[in-house]
Amino acid sequence: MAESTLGYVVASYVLTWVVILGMLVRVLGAVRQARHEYEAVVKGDFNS
Amino acid sequence: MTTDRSTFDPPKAGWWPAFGWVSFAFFAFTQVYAVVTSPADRMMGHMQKMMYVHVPAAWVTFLAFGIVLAASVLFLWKEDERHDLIAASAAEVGSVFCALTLILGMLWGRPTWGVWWSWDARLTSTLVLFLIFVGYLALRSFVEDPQRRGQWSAAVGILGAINVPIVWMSVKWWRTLHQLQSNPRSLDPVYLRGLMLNFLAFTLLMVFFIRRRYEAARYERAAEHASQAAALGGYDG
Repeated sequence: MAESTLGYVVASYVLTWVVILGMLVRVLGAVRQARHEYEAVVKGDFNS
Repeated sequence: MTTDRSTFDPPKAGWWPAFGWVSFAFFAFTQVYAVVTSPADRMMGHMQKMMYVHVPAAWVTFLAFGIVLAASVLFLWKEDERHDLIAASAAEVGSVFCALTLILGMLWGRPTWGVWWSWDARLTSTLVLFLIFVGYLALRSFVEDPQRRGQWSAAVGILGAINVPIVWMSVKWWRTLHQLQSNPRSLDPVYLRGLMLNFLAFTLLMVFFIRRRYEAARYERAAEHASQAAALGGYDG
Protein backbone atom coordinates (compact mmCIF):
# COMPACT_ATOMS: atom_id res chain seq x y z
CA MET A 1 0.00 0.00 0.00
CA ALA A 2 2.70 2.46 1.07
CA GLU A 3 4.83 1.71 -2.00
CA SER A 4 1.88 1.93 -4.37
CA THR A 5 0.76 5.31 -3.01
CA LEU A 6 4.27 6.77 -2.85
CA GLY A 7 4.30 7.00 -6.64
CA TYR A 8 1.29 9.36 -6.54
CA VAL A 9 3.01 11.57 -3.96
CA VAL A 10 6.22 11.75 -6.02
CA ALA A 11 4.21 12.42 -9.19
CA SER A 12 2.34 15.28 -7.52
CA TYR A 13 5.58 17.01 -6.46
CA VAL A 14 7.26 16.44 -9.83
CA LEU A 15 4.20 17.84 -11.61
CA THR A 16 4.10 20.89 -9.33
CA TRP A 17 7.76 21.68 -9.98
CA VAL A 18 7.38 21.15 -13.73
CA VAL A 19 4.40 23.54 -13.82
CA ILE A 20 6.09 26.17 -11.63
CA LEU A 21 9.34 26.08 -13.62
CA GLY A 22 7.41 25.99 -16.89
CA MET A 23 5.45 29.06 -15.83
CA LEU A 24 8.70 30.81 -14.88
CA VAL A 25 10.22 30.12 -18.30
CA ARG A 26 7.05 31.21 -20.08
CA VAL A 27 6.60 34.44 -18.10
CA LEU A 28 10.24 35.51 -18.31
CA GLY A 29 10.28 34.60 -22.01
CA ALA A 30 7.18 36.75 -22.56
CA VAL A 31 8.82 39.71 -20.80
CA ARG A 32 12.03 39.35 -22.82
CA GLN A 33 10.21 39.01 -26.13
CA ALA A 34 7.86 41.92 -25.45
CA ARG A 35 10.77 44.14 -24.40
CA HIS A 36 12.75 43.28 -27.52
CA GLU A 37 9.74 43.99 -29.72
CA TYR A 38 9.20 47.33 -28.01
CA GLU A 39 12.87 48.30 -28.37
CA ALA A 40 12.86 47.21 -32.02
CA VAL A 41 9.83 49.40 -32.74
CA VAL A 42 11.29 52.42 -30.94
CA LYS A 43 14.80 52.08 -32.47
CA GLY A 44 13.43 51.27 -35.91
CA ASP A 45 11.22 54.32 -35.90
CA PHE A 46 13.38 56.92 -34.28
CA ASN A 47 17.00 55.98 -34.98
CA SER A 48 16.64 55.54 -38.70
CA MET B 1 -11.11 54.60 -21.76
CA THR B 2 -8.10 56.22 -20.09
CA THR B 3 -5.17 56.35 -22.46
CA ASP B 4 -2.80 58.76 -20.73
CA ARG B 5 0.89 58.51 -21.58
CA SER B 6 1.74 56.50 -18.46
CA THR B 7 -0.38 53.59 -19.77
CA PHE B 8 2.02 53.27 -22.69
CA ASP B 9 5.28 53.92 -20.86
CA PRO B 10 7.45 50.81 -20.80
CA PRO B 11 7.37 49.34 -17.29
CA LYS B 12 10.40 48.98 -15.06
CA ALA B 13 11.46 45.61 -13.66
CA GLY B 14 12.70 47.29 -10.45
CA TRP B 15 13.33 44.84 -7.63
CA TRP B 16 10.97 42.17 -9.02
CA PRO B 17 13.75 39.87 -10.36
CA ALA B 18 15.23 39.77 -6.84
CA PHE B 19 11.74 39.17 -5.43
CA GLY B 20 11.46 36.20 -7.81
CA TRP B 21 14.73 34.65 -6.69
CA VAL B 22 13.81 35.02 -3.03
CA SER B 23 10.35 33.55 -3.70
CA PHE B 24 11.79 30.53 -5.48
CA ALA B 25 14.35 29.91 -2.77
CA PHE B 26 11.59 30.15 -0.15
CA PHE B 27 9.35 27.83 -2.19
CA ALA B 28 12.12 25.20 -2.42
CA PHE B 29 12.71 25.50 1.32
CA THR B 30 9.03 25.16 2.27
CA GLN B 31 8.57 22.12 0.02
CA VAL B 32 11.52 20.31 1.60
CA TYR B 33 10.56 21.48 5.09
CA ALA B 34 6.97 20.23 4.77
CA VAL B 35 7.96 16.83 3.39
CA VAL B 36 10.76 16.23 5.88
CA THR B 37 9.01 17.42 9.04
CA SER B 38 5.57 15.85 8.59
CA PRO B 39 5.16 12.29 9.87
CA ALA B 40 2.97 9.78 8.04
CA ASP B 41 -0.71 10.36 8.80
CA ARG B 42 -2.55 7.61 10.70
CA MET B 43 -5.24 7.30 8.02
CA MET B 44 -3.58 8.45 4.79
CA GLY B 45 0.05 7.58 5.42
CA HIS B 46 2.47 9.56 3.25
CA MET B 47 -0.32 10.57 0.88
CA GLN B 48 -0.99 13.36 3.39
CA LYS B 49 2.08 15.11 1.93
CA MET B 50 0.06 15.87 -1.23
CA MET B 51 -1.76 18.44 0.91
CA TYR B 52 1.30 20.73 0.68
CA VAL B 53 0.92 21.15 -3.06
CA HIS B 54 -2.78 20.57 -3.76
CA VAL B 55 -4.24 22.88 -1.11
CA PRO B 56 -1.87 25.87 -1.70
CA ALA B 57 -2.42 25.52 -5.46
CA ALA B 58 -6.18 25.77 -4.87
CA TRP B 59 -5.63 28.74 -2.54
CA VAL B 60 -3.64 30.75 -5.10
CA THR B 61 -6.21 29.86 -7.77
CA PHE B 62 -8.90 31.54 -5.67
CA LEU B 63 -6.60 34.46 -4.88
CA ALA B 64 -5.67 35.02 -8.54
CA PHE B 65 -9.33 34.97 -9.60
CA GLY B 66 -10.08 37.38 -6.74
CA ILE B 67 -7.52 39.73 -8.31
CA VAL B 68 -9.29 39.28 -11.67
CA LEU B 69 -12.55 40.31 -9.98
CA ALA B 70 -11.07 43.41 -8.32
CA ALA B 71 -9.15 44.52 -11.43
CA SER B 72 -12.17 43.91 -13.69
CA VAL B 73 -14.46 45.98 -11.47
CA LEU B 74 -11.83 48.74 -11.37
CA PHE B 75 -11.51 48.65 -15.16
CA LEU B 76 -15.27 48.99 -15.68
CA TRP B 77 -15.40 51.78 -13.10
CA LYS B 78 -12.31 53.83 -14.02
CA GLU B 79 -11.75 52.62 -17.60
CA ASP B 80 -8.01 52.52 -17.05
CA GLU B 81 -6.47 49.94 -19.38
CA ARG B 82 -3.82 48.99 -16.82
CA HIS B 83 -6.53 47.36 -14.70
CA ASP B 84 -7.55 45.27 -17.70
CA LEU B 85 -3.94 44.15 -18.18
CA ILE B 86 -3.67 43.21 -14.48
CA ALA B 87 -6.91 41.18 -14.74
CA ALA B 88 -5.65 39.37 -17.85
CA SER B 89 -2.30 38.58 -16.21
CA ALA B 90 -4.02 37.24 -13.09
CA ALA B 91 -6.45 35.17 -15.19
CA GLU B 92 -3.59 33.53 -17.06
CA VAL B 93 -1.67 32.66 -13.91
CA GLY B 94 -4.86 31.60 -12.08
CA SER B 95 -5.84 29.28 -14.93
CA VAL B 96 -2.51 27.47 -14.76
CA PHE B 97 -2.84 27.02 -11.00
CA CYS B 98 -6.45 25.89 -11.44
CA ALA B 99 -5.36 23.21 -13.93
CA LEU B 100 -2.62 22.16 -11.51
CA THR B 101 -5.16 21.93 -8.68
CA LEU B 102 -7.44 19.70 -10.76
CA ILE B 103 -4.64 17.34 -11.82
CA LEU B 104 -3.19 17.15 -8.30
CA GLY B 105 -6.70 16.39 -7.05
CA MET B 106 -6.95 13.53 -9.53
CA LEU B 107 -3.58 12.19 -8.39
CA TRP B 108 -4.83 12.29 -4.80
CA GLY B 109 -8.28 10.96 -5.66
CA ARG B 110 -7.13 7.83 -7.50
CA PRO B 111 -5.51 6.06 -4.51
CA THR B 112 -8.00 7.55 -2.01
CA TRP B 113 -11.36 7.11 -3.76
CA GLY B 114 -10.33 4.52 -6.34
CA VAL B 115 -11.26 6.79 -9.26
CA TRP B 116 -9.42 9.53 -11.15
CA TRP B 117 -12.52 11.67 -11.48
CA SER B 118 -15.97 11.94 -9.97
CA TRP B 119 -18.69 14.36 -11.03
CA ASP B 120 -19.18 15.59 -7.50
CA ALA B 121 -19.87 19.22 -6.63
CA ARG B 122 -16.32 20.31 -5.69
CA LEU B 123 -14.60 18.74 -8.68
CA THR B 124 -17.28 19.78 -11.16
CA SER B 125 -17.48 23.39 -9.92
CA THR B 126 -13.67 23.66 -10.07
CA LEU B 127 -13.71 22.33 -13.64
CA VAL B 128 -16.39 24.90 -14.53
CA LEU B 129 -14.22 27.62 -12.97
CA PHE B 130 -11.26 26.49 -15.08
CA LEU B 131 -13.32 26.39 -18.29
CA ILE B 132 -14.72 29.89 -17.67
CA PHE B 133 -11.19 31.30 -17.46
CA VAL B 134 -10.03 29.33 -20.50
CA GLY B 135 -12.96 31.02 -22.25
CA TYR B 136 -11.82 34.37 -20.81
CA LEU B 137 -8.36 33.94 -22.32
CA ALA B 138 -9.78 32.74 -25.64
CA LEU B 139 -12.09 35.76 -25.77
CA ARG B 140 -9.14 38.11 -25.31
CA SER B 141 -7.32 36.58 -28.24
CA PHE B 142 -10.35 37.01 -30.53
CA VAL B 143 -11.14 40.69 -29.83
CA GLU B 144 -8.66 43.23 -31.19
CA ASP B 145 -10.15 46.52 -30.03
CA PRO B 146 -8.62 47.13 -26.56
CA GLN B 147 -11.70 48.87 -25.15
CA ARG B 148 -14.15 46.20 -26.29
CA ARG B 149 -11.74 43.44 -25.25
CA GLY B 150 -11.44 44.98 -21.79
CA GLN B 151 -15.18 45.38 -21.30
CA TRP B 152 -16.13 41.90 -22.52
CA SER B 153 -13.38 40.13 -20.65
CA ALA B 154 -14.15 42.11 -17.48
CA ALA B 155 -17.74 40.84 -17.67
CA VAL B 156 -16.54 37.23 -18.10
CA GLY B 157 -13.90 37.70 -15.37
CA ILE B 158 -16.49 38.92 -12.87
CA LEU B 159 -18.84 36.07 -13.79
CA GLY B 160 -16.01 33.55 -13.37
CA ALA B 161 -14.84 34.96 -10.05
CA ILE B 162 -18.40 34.74 -8.68
CA ASN B 163 -17.97 30.98 -9.09
CA VAL B 164 -15.12 30.97 -6.52
CA PRO B 165 -17.38 31.10 -3.42
CA ILE B 166 -19.54 28.39 -4.98
CA VAL B 167 -16.46 26.16 -5.34
CA TRP B 168 -15.46 26.98 -1.75
CA MET B 169 -18.87 26.24 -0.27
CA SER B 170 -19.66 23.24 -2.51
CA VAL B 171 -18.43 20.72 0.07
CA LYS B 172 -20.86 22.18 2.62
CA TRP B 173 -23.84 22.76 0.34
CA TRP B 174 -23.81 19.37 -1.36
CA ARG B 175 -22.90 15.83 -0.37
CA THR B 176 -19.51 15.25 -1.98
CA LEU B 177 -16.68 12.75 -2.11
CA HIS B 178 -14.31 15.63 -1.39
CA GLN B 179 -13.62 16.21 2.29
CA LEU B 180 -14.51 19.44 4.10
CA GLN B 181 -11.84 22.14 4.16
CA SER B 182 -9.25 21.69 6.88
CA ASN B 183 -8.77 24.64 9.20
CA PRO B 184 -6.16 25.54 11.85
CA ARG B 185 -8.36 24.01 14.56
CA SER B 186 -8.82 20.68 12.76
CA LEU B 187 -5.21 20.26 11.68
CA ASP B 188 -2.35 18.99 13.84
CA PRO B 189 0.29 21.73 14.37
CA VAL B 190 2.97 19.48 12.90
CA TYR B 191 1.10 19.59 9.56
CA LEU B 192 -0.20 23.14 9.94
CA ARG B 193 3.25 24.79 9.94
CA GLY B 194 4.26 23.19 6.64
CA LEU B 195 0.91 24.05 5.10
CA MET B 196 1.06 27.71 6.15
CA LEU B 197 4.62 28.07 4.87
CA ASN B 198 3.56 26.60 1.52
CA PHE B 199 0.54 28.92 1.40
CA LEU B 200 2.95 31.82 1.73
CA ALA B 201 5.45 30.43 -0.80
CA PHE B 202 2.75 29.76 -3.42
CA THR B 203 1.30 33.24 -2.83
CA LEU B 204 4.70 34.91 -3.35
CA LEU B 205 5.20 32.96 -6.58
CA MET B 206 1.72 33.88 -7.79
CA VAL B 207 2.38 37.58 -7.13
CA PHE B 208 5.71 37.34 -8.96
CA PHE B 209 4.18 35.60 -11.99
CA ILE B 210 1.29 38.06 -12.24
CA ARG B 211 3.61 41.08 -11.92
CA ARG B 212 6.03 39.84 -14.61
CA ARG B 213 3.16 38.85 -16.93
CA TYR B 214 1.71 42.33 -16.44
CA GLU B 215 5.12 43.77 -17.31
CA ALA B 216 5.11 41.82 -20.58
CA ALA B 217 1.58 43.03 -21.36
CA ARG B 218 2.64 46.64 -20.74
CA TYR B 219 5.58 46.25 -23.15
CA GLU B 220 3.23 44.77 -25.77
CA ARG B 221 0.85 47.73 -25.46
CA ALA B 222 3.73 50.22 -25.45
CA ALA B 223 5.07 48.67 -28.69
CA GLU B 224 1.60 48.77 -30.29
CA HIS B 225 1.17 52.39 -29.29
CA ALA B 226 4.62 53.39 -30.52
CA SER B 227 4.14 51.73 -33.91
CA GLN B 228 0.64 53.23 -34.33
CA ALA B 229 1.86 56.68 -33.36
CA ALA B 230 4.89 56.39 -35.65
CA ALA B 231 2.64 55.37 -38.55
CA LEU B 232 0.63 58.54 -37.95
CA GLY B 233 3.84 60.56 -37.53
CA GLY B 234 2.79 61.72 -34.11
CA TYR B 235 5.00 59.87 -31.67
CA ASP B 236 6.96 62.33 -29.58
CA GLY B 237 9.22 59.90 -27.77
